[in-house]
Amino acid sequence: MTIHNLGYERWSGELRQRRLRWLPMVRYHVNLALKRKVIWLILLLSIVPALGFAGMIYMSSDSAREGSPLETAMVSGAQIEEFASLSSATPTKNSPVDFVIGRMFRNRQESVNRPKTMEEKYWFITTHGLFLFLLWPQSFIVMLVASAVGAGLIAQDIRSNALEIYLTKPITPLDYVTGKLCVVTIFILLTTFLPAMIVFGVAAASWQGYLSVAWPVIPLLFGACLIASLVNGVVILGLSSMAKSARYAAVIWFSLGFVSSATAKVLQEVGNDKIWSFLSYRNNFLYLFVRIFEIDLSFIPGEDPMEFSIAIPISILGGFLLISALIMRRTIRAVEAG
Amino acid sequence: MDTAIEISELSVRFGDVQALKDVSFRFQGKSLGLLGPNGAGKSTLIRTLLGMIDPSQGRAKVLGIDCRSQRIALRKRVGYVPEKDCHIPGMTAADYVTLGGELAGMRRRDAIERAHEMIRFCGVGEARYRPVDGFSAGMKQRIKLAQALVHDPDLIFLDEPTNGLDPEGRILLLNVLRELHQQMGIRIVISSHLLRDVEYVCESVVVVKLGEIVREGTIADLKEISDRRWEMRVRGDLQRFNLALENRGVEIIKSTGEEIEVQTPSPGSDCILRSAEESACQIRRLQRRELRLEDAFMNTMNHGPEEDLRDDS
Repeated sequence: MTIHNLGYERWSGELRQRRLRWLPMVRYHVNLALKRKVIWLILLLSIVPALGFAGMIYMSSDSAREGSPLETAMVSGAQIEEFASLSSATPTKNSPVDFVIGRMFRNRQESVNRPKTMEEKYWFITTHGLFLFLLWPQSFIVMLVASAVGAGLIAQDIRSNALEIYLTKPITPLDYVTGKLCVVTIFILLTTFLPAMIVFGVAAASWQGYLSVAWPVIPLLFGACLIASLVNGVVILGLSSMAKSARYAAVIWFSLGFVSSATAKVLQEVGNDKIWSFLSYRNNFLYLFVRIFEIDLSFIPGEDPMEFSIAIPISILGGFLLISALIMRRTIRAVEAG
Repeated sequence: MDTAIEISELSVRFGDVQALKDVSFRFQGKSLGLLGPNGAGKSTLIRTLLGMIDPSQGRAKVLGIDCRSQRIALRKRVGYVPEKDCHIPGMTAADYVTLGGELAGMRRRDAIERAHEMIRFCGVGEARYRPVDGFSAGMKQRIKLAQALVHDPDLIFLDEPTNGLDPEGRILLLNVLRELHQQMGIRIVISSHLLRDVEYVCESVVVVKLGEIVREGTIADLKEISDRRWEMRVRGDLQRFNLALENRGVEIIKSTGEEIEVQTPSPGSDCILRSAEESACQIRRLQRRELRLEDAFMNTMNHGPEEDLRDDS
């Protein structure tokens, strides 16, 4: 029988010089988050719109075989006006994807200025347009998941004094924030990029030639999802570092997301000026994505075309990043000073 | 033994508040107690030594590593047990300590193995798969010690380690700390209000008052003063007697009626007896005053540094 020494023994191993010193934090926090039912619920919820799109795409492939008006028009080299006219058809008479694409395309021929041939236009809509159309409703899910995962990440460390422990380990404050940001980023990517890739996969399987033409949208999609993840992650961590309560951070977070949108909408109506729409936190992501995917704003239901400089949403979101970073820095300094 | 802590002219300022002022000392022993009232600057000193606070002036080295420029290297060799409860909500004790090891640079497998050893060593082995949130104060204190020890540091800082512990838990923890520095050679720095705890574990003390070090030395040095501390009952002309004492360099600590407490300039009671003879007073009782660390501490707090023990050591 082995006899164990229950006293203290010196350890003879060697401590490694890690570059990614924050990596263990990420693993533990992701595991902790996955133990919560609400996180699984949000993850499942995030796939629902994607499954809807995937279903429509799958059905459209059946429709194509049966000669869907849209597919037939495309194959026969119809003019763009004909695509537009499809949107006026009632959805019950056409395949769901005809309805969605038709709606996106309705009277917006000018929005697809870049592609030249009819086929290019069609693919452009079913790649760039499709994913922008998918990502926009996902922004609600992003608000939910960022709140559920991120609101307590620093707040709970402050409340339970774990931050003090972290800051006395061989990691820098930047490592600490990076680790926490990585946790939020992973979950936001799971609720944005993963559903989008499901849709992409189903489209590639359903539509012939889709993969070879549409693959360039993947880096764009990843870039957009990563930007959304990082910016939302930093902002929610900034809010989380403001208080000891995750609820407090969550309330401010939802206020930022939804109240700012409502305020922007009201001011837009009252002032009759589109510029007020930049007051909305979420709208700035939309405007950024519209430029990333090179699609007109009018693809989004309820949004009208608007000329704006890309510098505006970048500056606004950059401001949020800066303020959040300053708040986190102040909190960490305060904990370090005791 | 090499120098564990070396501080020279260290000052820390928070806005208008001078938290530490020109602090200089060198610690070469195995165990050091930081004593001082609330707000004296003990925790600030520890945080500065851990590299959490940038000093506004001066420099500090722990185990020969500069606290400001080599923080990461320093924290790999030290452990820290904070005063407050520290845990990550929802995390089990085993995961909590393992995470500490991994953050210190241990491989995952090593960290897991070592975490279990340390949890067992600190006496919470039975609860290692329970979330730390539900631990009692004593168990939380021990798990904090386990996370500080997991990467086998050469020095541990403990801030009020026995706060909130029951007597049994307190003795257990103090015995663990004694074992660590006496048998394992892990140096210990304890900041505490509980002077008995410091006396039980530490060999040396530093007394901090209003951000300054007012006394430092070994506990034996501090208590050595009791060879020169006397209390007596005297009859006769007390005024003449006191004058005679003062002429011989005897300091009168306390004088209430016939009861007098004094401190002689050198060990022994010769000067007291001569003063009594000179002033024709009767000494009815004369005995050495036994000093505890509390007395030495209170004496320092009330009177400031009466002598520089640094010169003695």
